Amino acid sequence: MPPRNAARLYPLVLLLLAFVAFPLYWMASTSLKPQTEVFRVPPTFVPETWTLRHYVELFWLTDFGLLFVNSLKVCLVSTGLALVVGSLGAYALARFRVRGKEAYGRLVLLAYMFPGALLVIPLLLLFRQLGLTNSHLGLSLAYLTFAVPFVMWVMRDFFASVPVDLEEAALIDGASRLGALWDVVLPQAVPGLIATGIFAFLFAWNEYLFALILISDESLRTLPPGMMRFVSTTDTNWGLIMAASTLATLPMALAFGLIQRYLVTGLGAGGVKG
Amino acid sequence: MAPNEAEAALAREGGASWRAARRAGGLLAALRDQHLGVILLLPSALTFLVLLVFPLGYGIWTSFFQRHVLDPEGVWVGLGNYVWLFGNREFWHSLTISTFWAGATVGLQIVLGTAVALLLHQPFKGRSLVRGLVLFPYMMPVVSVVLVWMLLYNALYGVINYLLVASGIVGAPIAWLSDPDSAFWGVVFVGVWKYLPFVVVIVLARLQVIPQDLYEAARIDGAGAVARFLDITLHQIKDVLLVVALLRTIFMFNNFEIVFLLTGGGPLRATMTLPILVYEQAFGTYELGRGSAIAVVMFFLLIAVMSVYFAFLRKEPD
Repeated sequence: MPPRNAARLYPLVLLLLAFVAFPLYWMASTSLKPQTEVFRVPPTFVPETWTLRHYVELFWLTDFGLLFVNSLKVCLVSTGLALVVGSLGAYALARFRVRGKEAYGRLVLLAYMFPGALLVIPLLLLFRQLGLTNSHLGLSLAYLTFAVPFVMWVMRDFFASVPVDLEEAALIDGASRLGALWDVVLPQAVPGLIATGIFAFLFAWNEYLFALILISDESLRTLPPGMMRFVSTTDTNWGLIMAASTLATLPMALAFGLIQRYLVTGLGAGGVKG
Repeated sequence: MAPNEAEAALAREGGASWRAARRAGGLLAALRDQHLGVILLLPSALTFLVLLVFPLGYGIWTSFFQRHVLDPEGVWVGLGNYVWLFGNREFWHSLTISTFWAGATVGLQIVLGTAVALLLHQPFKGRSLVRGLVLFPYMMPVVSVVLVWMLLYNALYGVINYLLVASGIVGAPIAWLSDPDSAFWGVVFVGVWKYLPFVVVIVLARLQVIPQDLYEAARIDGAGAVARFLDITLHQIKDVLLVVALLRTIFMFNNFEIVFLLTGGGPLRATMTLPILVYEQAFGTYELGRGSAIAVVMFFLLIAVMSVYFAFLRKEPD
């Protein structure tokens, strides 16, 4: 199609950009305004005075740093575990003739859709028996309930799309099945693993209900319940809250910027969680 | 294949025999596909068993008890919690709210998402940048999304109210999230904003593989733009739309965070979805049994919708 259409499209594109990007812009710009300017009516669309005060306060006056590190720990552990457990299973589903494979594949999808509200009560009772409440490991394990099915679901298609020829060549050269998986398949699966890992991390980073119920010790709290606490305890310090929101978005923004190309693949392949 | 047999197979291949078998060229024969396949599936099967299947069973079991969150045993009440549930107006109210919430968010996501995908399918300068930016709400943490929308919606200094009043669309600021009349649409809008990218990505991917010659042929036949959209584009993407709608419906129906964090189910229970009702029963009034019973009903609704999905997949093997 010739670009003569372009002129007609731009107003629509601008509208779309405003819809998508304005909340992001508002979050970041509010975090940089002094407290008095945040409450001003009419609002200032570009900060009149720029300040990093809220960011300094966030680390000096609140436990944001601790919340952030706790979240990072839990999410990295659960993502790592899910990638290992999930991709082994996904590889088996994609490559091996196992009886009941299709039924198992469906169970994976069903597991992926389990409502958190259904799991949280029995998991609390079970984890209390096992001493896994108030534990970062416990919360990481709880996150496997959605992370493992997700990784399996996406990586199965990904492994299926990797050509079999190279593996067969390696096997003929005397490599074992596991050797071929490690040396031949894994290097090709890296982009898929990264994209899938980022989504698994994102889901864990987002999760609120398990984090709220399974952890009650303040020193072990993770970001989502910890940040919601700011709304009541710090009253309406929106500058501070927006600074926290911006920093919580940062890891995802970094991941997003680095590997945007793979993300589209991951999202398209089966990133249907939310 | 029983899992212990698979473990035995692995043990047989362990240690020195591994090398010996390999030298003899018998490794592949000894370690048949099925064995290794089962071994690779074991960790995930164990995860599902311990963290999903057992909790599901335990949840169903708990729904037959009246049990406080700190109570180690509870009292057997049989179907008592279900009887309570189906005779309870709040349950039916929440079921209705959840249905409308899922219906409204998914409906808007599908319509808007398709429109945005069609727009981003057109060639224009900066298209790949815009395509990237459109994904961003999905990557933003739910808590950050909720907090920024609380600020945007604020009745006193929120920028949405400022713009609406300044442009004369409304006479007075609206307390979006604390007015029972507007709270539902307030949370729906956030749900649409956050999860729209998904529909856009999937529809866009589908649009890119529609054969161009279909359009050429239709143009030669004299079909107008609207006819081309209805007969070709919509016809080609309708299966994808159906699948996305189904999956999105499940996710939105089960979504706890967005609504709970924005309104807590209020005001006056105007946004009290089923997951929030589970939370309220289990951890607000400490009725674990009742909370579990509601969750079990949600699970069976999920099974029903998934059966439709699997039936659809069977029909369309693609």
